[in-house]
Amino acid sequence: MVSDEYGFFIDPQRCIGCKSCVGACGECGTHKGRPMIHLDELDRLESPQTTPTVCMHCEDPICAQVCPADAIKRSEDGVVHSSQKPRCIGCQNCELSCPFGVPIVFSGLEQMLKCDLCYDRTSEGLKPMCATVCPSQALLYAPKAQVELMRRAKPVREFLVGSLLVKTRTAVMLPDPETPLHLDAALLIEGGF
Amino acid sequence: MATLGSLDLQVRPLFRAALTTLALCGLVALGSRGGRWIDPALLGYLMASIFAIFGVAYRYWEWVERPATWMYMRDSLRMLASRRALAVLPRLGLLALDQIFLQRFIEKRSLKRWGAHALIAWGCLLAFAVTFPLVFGWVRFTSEGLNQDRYQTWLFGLPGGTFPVHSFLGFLAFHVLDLAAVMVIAGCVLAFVRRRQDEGDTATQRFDLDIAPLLVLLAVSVTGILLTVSEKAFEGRNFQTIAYLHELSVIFMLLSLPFGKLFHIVQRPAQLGVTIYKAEGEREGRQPCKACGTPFIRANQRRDLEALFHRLGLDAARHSEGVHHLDLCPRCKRRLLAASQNRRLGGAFDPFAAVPLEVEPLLDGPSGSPQ
Amino acid sequence: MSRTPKPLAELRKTYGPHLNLAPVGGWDADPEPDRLVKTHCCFCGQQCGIQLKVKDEKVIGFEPWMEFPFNQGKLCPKGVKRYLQGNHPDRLTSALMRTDHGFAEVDWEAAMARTVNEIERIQTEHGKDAFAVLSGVSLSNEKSYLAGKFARLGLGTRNLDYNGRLCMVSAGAGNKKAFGVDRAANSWADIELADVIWVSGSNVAECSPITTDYIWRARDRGAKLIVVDPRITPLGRTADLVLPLRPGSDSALTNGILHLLQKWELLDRDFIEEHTAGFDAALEAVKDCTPEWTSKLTGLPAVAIEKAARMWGEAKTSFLLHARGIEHQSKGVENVCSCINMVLATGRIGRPGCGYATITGQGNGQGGREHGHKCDQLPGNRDIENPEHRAHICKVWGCTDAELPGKGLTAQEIMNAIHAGEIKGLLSLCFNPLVSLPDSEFTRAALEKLEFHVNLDFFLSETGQHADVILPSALHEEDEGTSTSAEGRIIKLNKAVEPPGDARADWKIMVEMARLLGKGKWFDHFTSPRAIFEELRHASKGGTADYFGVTYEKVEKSMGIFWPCPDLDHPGTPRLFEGGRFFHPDGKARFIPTPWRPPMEVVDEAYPIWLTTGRTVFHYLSGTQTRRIGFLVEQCPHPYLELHPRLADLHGIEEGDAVEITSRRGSLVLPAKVVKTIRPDTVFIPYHWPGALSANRLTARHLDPVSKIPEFKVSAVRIAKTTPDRFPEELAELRRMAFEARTDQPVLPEQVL
Repeated sequence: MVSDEYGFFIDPQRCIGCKSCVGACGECGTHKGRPMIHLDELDRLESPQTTPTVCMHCEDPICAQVCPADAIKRSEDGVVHSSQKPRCIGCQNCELSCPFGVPIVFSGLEQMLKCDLCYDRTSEGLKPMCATVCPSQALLYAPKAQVELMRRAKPVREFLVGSLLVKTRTAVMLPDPETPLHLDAALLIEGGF
Repeated sequence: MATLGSLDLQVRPLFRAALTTLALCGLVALGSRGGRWIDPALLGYLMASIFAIFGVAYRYWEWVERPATWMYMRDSLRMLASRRALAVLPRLGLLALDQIFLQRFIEKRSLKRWGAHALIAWGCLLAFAVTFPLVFGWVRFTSEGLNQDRYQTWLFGLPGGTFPVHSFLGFLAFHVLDLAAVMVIAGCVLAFVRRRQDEGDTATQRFDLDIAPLLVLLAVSVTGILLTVSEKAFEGRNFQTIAYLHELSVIFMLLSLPFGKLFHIVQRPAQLGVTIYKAEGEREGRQPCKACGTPFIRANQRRDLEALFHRLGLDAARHSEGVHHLDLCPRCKRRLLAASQNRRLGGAFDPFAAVPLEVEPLLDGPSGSPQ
Repeated sequence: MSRTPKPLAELRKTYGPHLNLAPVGGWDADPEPDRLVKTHCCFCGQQCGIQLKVKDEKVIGFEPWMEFPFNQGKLCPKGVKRYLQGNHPDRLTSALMRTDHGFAEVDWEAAMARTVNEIERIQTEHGKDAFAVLSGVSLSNEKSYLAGKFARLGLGTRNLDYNGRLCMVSAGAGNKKAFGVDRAANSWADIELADVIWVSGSNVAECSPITTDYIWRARDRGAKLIVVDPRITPLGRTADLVLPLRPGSDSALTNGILHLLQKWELLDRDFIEEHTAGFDAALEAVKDCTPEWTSKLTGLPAVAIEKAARMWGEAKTSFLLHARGIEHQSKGVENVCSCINMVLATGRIGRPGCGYATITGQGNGQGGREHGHKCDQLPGNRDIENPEHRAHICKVWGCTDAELPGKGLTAQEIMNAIHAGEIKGLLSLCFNPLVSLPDSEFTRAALEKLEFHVNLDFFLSETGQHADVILPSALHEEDEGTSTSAEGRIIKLNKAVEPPGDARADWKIMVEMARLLGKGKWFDHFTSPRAIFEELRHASKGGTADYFGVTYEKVEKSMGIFWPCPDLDHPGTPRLFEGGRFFHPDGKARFIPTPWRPPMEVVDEAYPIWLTTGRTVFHYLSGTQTRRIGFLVEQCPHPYLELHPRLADLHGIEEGDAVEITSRRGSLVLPAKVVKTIRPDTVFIPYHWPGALSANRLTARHLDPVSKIPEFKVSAVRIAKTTPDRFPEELAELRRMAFEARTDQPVLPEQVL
């Protein structure tokens, strides 16, 4: 069981693009050289900004809903796990449907693997690899109560994907936590970031 | 995981499962000539098997009816009914060889895992292939007339070939289950060792899903092999007790078949369907991401997922300007989160907002901020 | 003649760089380690704590060390993958000697005998000083100390210098002038407490990534961040004020700020009066540095300069950080002093949340520059020309004043003297000058003139390829010792595994060589790093960098001790200058006037574009280690030319195009990386690669007159679009390696090309 007192908090503003998280992710016992975290440039021509993506661990994960093999499970502690090996048939429904672009279907393995909060570490009270090494702490794993005190920005766990409300275990840091974070593709299409 | 207590039985799968079970019973009656050739000693096995088949059929139909599963099942059936089937069948054969028979995809996950899995899988399938026909009375052996040294085989109540008892074939016929048991035991031991060494599996494995099935298979195989040991080496000592334990463990395994890890045996062939589905999708081509323009989603999957989103009540996942969330590639979805955070921060961190960069005299071009 | 004995492509087949992609036994091997060894990262001056996993006497991975106070488990990608430098296919495990057909593996004794013979021959024929030592500060304190003693007493040469000459010397000289001591004034804990943080010439996010978190913690308290850099770096992107100034104009900016502080009376008059000297002269030097003047020189709008002066001047607490951006200049020391003037004028130093530091670049860039590793220095940061200092060291070492050579040449000057034929023999260790010195074709020509060159390294470096004898040395994790971080924190490095084959720790090699040279009496008692440290403690006693009160046990127990630590009961000194007491005899800090002068090379019609060079987060210095680690190569396989789209448009250049960059020294062809995050009049190249891809083919041997640091950060170049067939062969090889790292497939399929 992963403790409910601890939360995962992402602040893309702090990301420095060093990919420590990517390197460390592969070092975790459940990942074996295959990083599950993503680190993307927003648009290198315009800005050096990069952003890390770990699983948001949705309350009602769309990846699990669209899985034909019923292979994606969320444990009682709210962690959405990699697909169950005996079931996953590598169809990519999850990869294409996840609101946040998290799951990865490894061709050849015919299996979807994803960020599982380094379950081998977090279930034993350790931090996930990425949040442990992250030099800027753009990826923060800390007691929820403590985060309120140590950060100016506040955690938001609700997202409007278009107009679909998605609630998550992982939080994104925002200055105004009252309203959900609205994700609208127009922002990318206009390049207005 | 569904358990008995939480079973929320649905009518259509129940009906289909009942039909499946009835059909099986008909085949048993036919093959055993009205039950005449059913071995009374195997009656307990027979009842458990029929129940297991019912359970598996129910779970299977329920699973197939999930919107996401049906999306693939429907497409696969349509394809098999169409003229494309002829073009696809040879490929399907090769895929079955690679994915079901050789299980190469598991080898790519880990060689140790593949070794353990292959031993268990082929041990089990071998044992099933022998025991189910025997239990159902579809296959039986009698002495060939008065000749005690030759056996007559009966298939589905019809006479098959004969073979000498003291021959390699004879030996094989009597010990194929021992071979299967040895394979399963070796596989289970390997699996346990591998799980112990693997930090990741140690953390994520669950007793009911990952450990219990191995223990059940181990119990079945060990009691099975002890029967032979008792008969050959100890003149049948404790044979009855062992037989009783074996039957108990087999019945337990059969009853748990629909609920546990072994259910994946009937799910796995879906992988073939998915592989063909992907190949068909590639023929249609990939549609570009509406943000970055990179082709990424196969046309058939794009259509089917939108319909699936509709059935799942996820229609709200549409952005402005008619962009469906499925039209964004995973990378752009990830970028979108950060870009959205940027917008909420109101550009507070745009360095050039405070300091317009002056253009050097050596550069001809528009002056002012580069942004 | 020390040309490479074989074409480089053939040397590469044997000695690499090849990639190490996975831990011993592959990713599926049982990761349960036999033991965890607490030690530190070998890359960069922050010296992050890390635990190495050891199984069957091999390092198989790492586990974060959460308790180490500086980084609390945090690591940059180099730290995460540092363990892959061990068990590497390129590792040198026996001595090599140059033959007509390449390098041959030889007996250790044969290699040592040849080396000692050549040293004696050259020194007999051409004098003691004709044999030079170039060392480096990725070495522990013990090895750095020993390198100094070995050169002076073992070889009797005055020509010893180190690669800190390319790194820390401007900051060191500036600090000594202003404060009388050369160390970060504060531990990093004070960064968190500052209200304004000023970062000049430091790509903090990439070159000292862990410091990013300290800055953000301050910002969570409401601190403002000012970043001065010609490029918009990842940290600069988020800054409250970014000042993308013209390369080489740093002291114009800081002079302009001091001018405004005085004009607006944002000064701490009491502090200046009581604790400093020389303020009037400093003011005199900036009296004409109006915002308009500053704007003209820096290319920044006057309004931004005024805003910066207000933010800095009105703050209650502040921390100023700078790094190589301002120090790698022909007026590096002046740039440093002008930054310090800003700090002293506001009196914000020596108190909680009030501080100043240079961010040390190399692993032991701090400790390695304190104990006699420099041509003009003796242990304890003593002056080799000061008779009292010499007497102290002669006493500790048991030698006469006549036996202790005087001040020698600095690193670039040694290379110049080699080129001029004045220095005939060289021992190089922990230094890859062929990649890291400016004007690399000049360096290559110099190396080819050496009569004898012995190189100590664990991989065959580009410099080593020109050596006559190569002695395999030990990795960071194969020896114990101490090191001193950017904060001035002395930390303990622990041995995880034994060096493989004939490889051995550098100190053992130097001690053996000294004995063979007949100088054993000064070295034979060095039987362990601990024994060397014991002597270092006594040698440093009474110097500014006083380690006398430091022991291995104390360091491990407190997870680091900040020097000065003059006696065994002393807890160490995280914050210097408390109560305004500085290290000059009168206890006062000095303002150093920094009248403006331009860089040695400025743009003109023939070379109209500024070039600046630097690091990326994925590589360390000359790349000898990091260019061999799969993950790091995958992320950043080769150098590139970073330029603004307006400049690119002017030359018809698009992303990925081949661009020829030419300076007065030479030229190279690199792929273009078009970004709006650099001044349109400036281009940038990362410097970690050798040969045809080396940024240092373009840089000049212009030195700061005081620190003798080369002006890496300011050159004038011209650029022209060219065709991809002009890309050097090495680029294709690096692209193939990146593919290998990504896919584990060694051969690049054609369609990827």
